[in-house]
Amino acid sequence: MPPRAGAPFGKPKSSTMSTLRKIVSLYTDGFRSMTVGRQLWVLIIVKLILFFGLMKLFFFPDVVEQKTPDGGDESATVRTEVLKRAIGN
Amino acid sequence: MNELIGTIDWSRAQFALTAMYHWLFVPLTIGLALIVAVMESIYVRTGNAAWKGITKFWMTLFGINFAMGIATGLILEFEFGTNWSNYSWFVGDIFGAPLAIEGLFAFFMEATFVAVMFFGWKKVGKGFHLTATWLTALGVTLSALWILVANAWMQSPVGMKFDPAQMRNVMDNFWAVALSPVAINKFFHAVLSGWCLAGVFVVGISCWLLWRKRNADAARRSIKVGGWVGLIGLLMTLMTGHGSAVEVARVQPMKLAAMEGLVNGSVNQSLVAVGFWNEKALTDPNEPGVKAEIAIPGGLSFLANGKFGTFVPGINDLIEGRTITAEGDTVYGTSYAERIERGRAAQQALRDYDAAHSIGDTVAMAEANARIQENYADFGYGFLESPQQAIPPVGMTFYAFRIMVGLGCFLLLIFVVALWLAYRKPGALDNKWVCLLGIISIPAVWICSQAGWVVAEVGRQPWVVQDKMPTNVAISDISAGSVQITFWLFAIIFTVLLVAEISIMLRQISRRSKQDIQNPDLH
Repeated sequence: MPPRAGAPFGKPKSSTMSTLRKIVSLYTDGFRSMTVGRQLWVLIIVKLILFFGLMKLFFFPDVVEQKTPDGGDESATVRTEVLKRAIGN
Repeated sequence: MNELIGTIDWSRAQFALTAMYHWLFVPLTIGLALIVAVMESIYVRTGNAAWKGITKFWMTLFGINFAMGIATGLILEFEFGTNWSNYSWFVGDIFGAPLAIEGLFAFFMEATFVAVMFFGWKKVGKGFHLTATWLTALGVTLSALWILVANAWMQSPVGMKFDPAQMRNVMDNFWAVALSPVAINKFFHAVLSGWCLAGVFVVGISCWLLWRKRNADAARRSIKVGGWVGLIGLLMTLMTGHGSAVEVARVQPMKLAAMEGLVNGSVNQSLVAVGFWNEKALTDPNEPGVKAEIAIPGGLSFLANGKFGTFVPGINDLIEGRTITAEGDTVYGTSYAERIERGRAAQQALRDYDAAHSIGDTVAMAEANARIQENYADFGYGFLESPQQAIPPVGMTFYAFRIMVGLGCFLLLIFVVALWLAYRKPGALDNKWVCLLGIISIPAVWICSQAGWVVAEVGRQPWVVQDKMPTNVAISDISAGSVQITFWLFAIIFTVLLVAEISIMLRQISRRSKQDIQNPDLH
């Protein structure tokens, strides 16, 4: 049964299941009836793929982790790096 | 060393590029959410369906901007781990907690209520829908809170203790971090500037509608709401801007000196309204800091200290630790040369700690730690070769500040004129020159907003964390070439995405403007 227009969630006569159904239908009907939203979702997905699938994976490693030997202390790596920049070093 | 300088400059450029790109969307999301909530409230209160149509029109533009901004902030976090790994580790504990809260809070709050806002018109009651819209506005505002708190901490590090074992600052007072005066001012200043920006956006787009003679009634109604929200936002931005200036004078006096091009301070210091920064003044004591100056007498003293007749230190005063008391006596406090010495003492103590740590000598570690804590306030100065290295790029800070203030005054005029015409002479809003003024105010407000961040971020150089960590220490030991590659990759990706996103926004505005905006069933 389609949800009644204007009926807020959580009316006393609604059971938990029907409330859940209404919530699910809010999203499914909403996504189905999107117009400009479809283009925006495509853009969001393209962005996420570019950022996580390309940039993060290939260009943005965790440098502290990389410079620390396996099982080593990352704070020692940073301490060494920081002190290396001190004047006179 | 040259390689390091290259890496610093390219990393700065890359961070500026991504942060500025991110900030194109954030203030509009914050402000437009509020404007949409106000419009919907008018609809619910009056029952006038035209307001429902107008709400839906602006809600669509809010949705496009919201989607455009998604994930743009993630890039900054990538850069922290790769280009700024020392900094990222150094501040990890302070940044971790606020950003984790932000991520969780914003995601759940926005994902829930944004969905009801867009999908719920026919599914939930008017009151429920309106509540969701207001909660979305609240959610997007609060989601900006934690990143601004983190930024404020970098400008004024409080509520933490440096732990040499972990090599990072450990938060020991969450509330001191979250409620620091700098954080509070920064949050309100940034959020309220978002109201102003969105107000200009609504007024500007409405002017375009009037110019094209489309939906004139909806446009005039929108100008009233956008104009009021924008005007209130702008006036409150000015107030919080004053609060920010007071805080800058307290915790970052060198930034204030750079904003004003103030080389040598004085009692009852004037505020430069118009002028040209003279770089030679930094090296030649006979050269004035600002040329062709038009100044407000005593203005800077009032701005910084809330009182005319007080002393505001200039760049040279800060370097030499000089101040002038209320009685007119010149007093010398801590000079930058002394701060550099203290910073080096802290660094030597850190070296001693490191050596003691490697052999497990706990007594020596405790003794070294005590010396670190004693000198930690000036830890970052130890990395400077000379006091002059603590001077930020004055020209860029000086001009960015004037661009921000100048455009802010222009926008104040726009709001006053738009509202006066909307209420007193609505027909005059159709005048093409008025419309043109409204339209050109759109890029102006973005330039104004970005200039504000240039003042905040360039003006605090060389510090990444004020007095604790300069930029050349924050940077990772990676090649400038690799940062260059990602800079250009971002520049290309961002440009392509921006063109695609703006074209979606413009197409929507154009398409919807040809329909009756006030008819809610057409959206």
